[in-house]
Amino acid sequence: MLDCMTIMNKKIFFLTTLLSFLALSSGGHARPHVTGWIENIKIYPEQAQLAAKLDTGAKMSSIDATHIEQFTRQKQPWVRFTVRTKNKNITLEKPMVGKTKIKLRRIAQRITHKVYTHRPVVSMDICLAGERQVTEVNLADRKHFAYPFLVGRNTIRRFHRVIDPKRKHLTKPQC
Amino acid sequence: MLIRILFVTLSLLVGSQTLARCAQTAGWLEKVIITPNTALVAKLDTGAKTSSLYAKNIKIIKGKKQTWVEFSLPNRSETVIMRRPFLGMSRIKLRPTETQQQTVSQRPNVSIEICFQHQRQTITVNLADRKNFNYPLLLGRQAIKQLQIAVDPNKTFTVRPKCSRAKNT
Repeated sequence: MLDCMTIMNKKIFFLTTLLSFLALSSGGHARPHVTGWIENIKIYPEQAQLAAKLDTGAKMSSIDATHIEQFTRQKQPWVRFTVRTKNKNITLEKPMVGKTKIKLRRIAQRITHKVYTHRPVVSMDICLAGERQVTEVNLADRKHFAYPFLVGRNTIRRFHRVIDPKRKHLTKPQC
Repeated sequence: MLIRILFVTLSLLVGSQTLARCAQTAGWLEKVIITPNTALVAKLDTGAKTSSLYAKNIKIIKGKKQTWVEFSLPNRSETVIMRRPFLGMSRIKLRPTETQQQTVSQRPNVSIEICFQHQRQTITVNLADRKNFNYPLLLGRQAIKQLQIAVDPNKTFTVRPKCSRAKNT
């Protein structure tokens, strides 16, 4: 609410100074902080583009990965995985920064006979809506899903965004 | 003088537009009141299309003219029993990640009236009978679109639900 008031005051200030400019700015897309629920993002350094679903229901971001292999490099835990991007599948190697413990749904518990599942977590450098940030992402085999990257609350917060479920592809992944 | 009047009217116009636009956000968790008087916490989930309400004792009752769904909502100390027209079944895809196979759950749909921030809205929810849930109401994209808001994951409980008198339905 506070930033809204500032925006409003700014607008009135502009109005008194430059009428025509204001008429334009209020009619156009004066909400740079809004993102749709589907956006294209880019991962770095590979510069590979992929479709992402921005999910306020998810605590942490997750990427659809296959062939997930953990290994040791210079005594540090690393993980190798394959991601599906717009053009091709690419294999990435990243240091493992941790693991998430995810409680399975009851139906999944019954099938797998496990209560929890663990997923490796890596740091990824991504471009969303013209901004670059490093964020933590867990690796999940989400092959049944339509979008290879799920942007959770941890990442959306980093980018200071609000999600409008009426909109898709509002931004371009150009950083 | 004429220019001055123009200035005032225009600034009012633009100001109200900006305010209306700003009022269109909500936190990812918000308090909601289900008509008549059940207060609960809703999670606003842009990752889900439909909305779910966690209810107990869900029964589908076939009447002569209409099929009803009866269910109970735990509300602090008491339990509220609600009966709403049956709007069909939803097939809900469950997360296949861990099981490596697609599982589908069938849930009855009903419409409920909610008070969210300062607006009353009738939304369709599917009823889920689940014991372990964190948030009793999950608002998906369809409902968030109806409410005309964008979701801010930096915020929770931004506006207390306060609506004018319930519609007589």
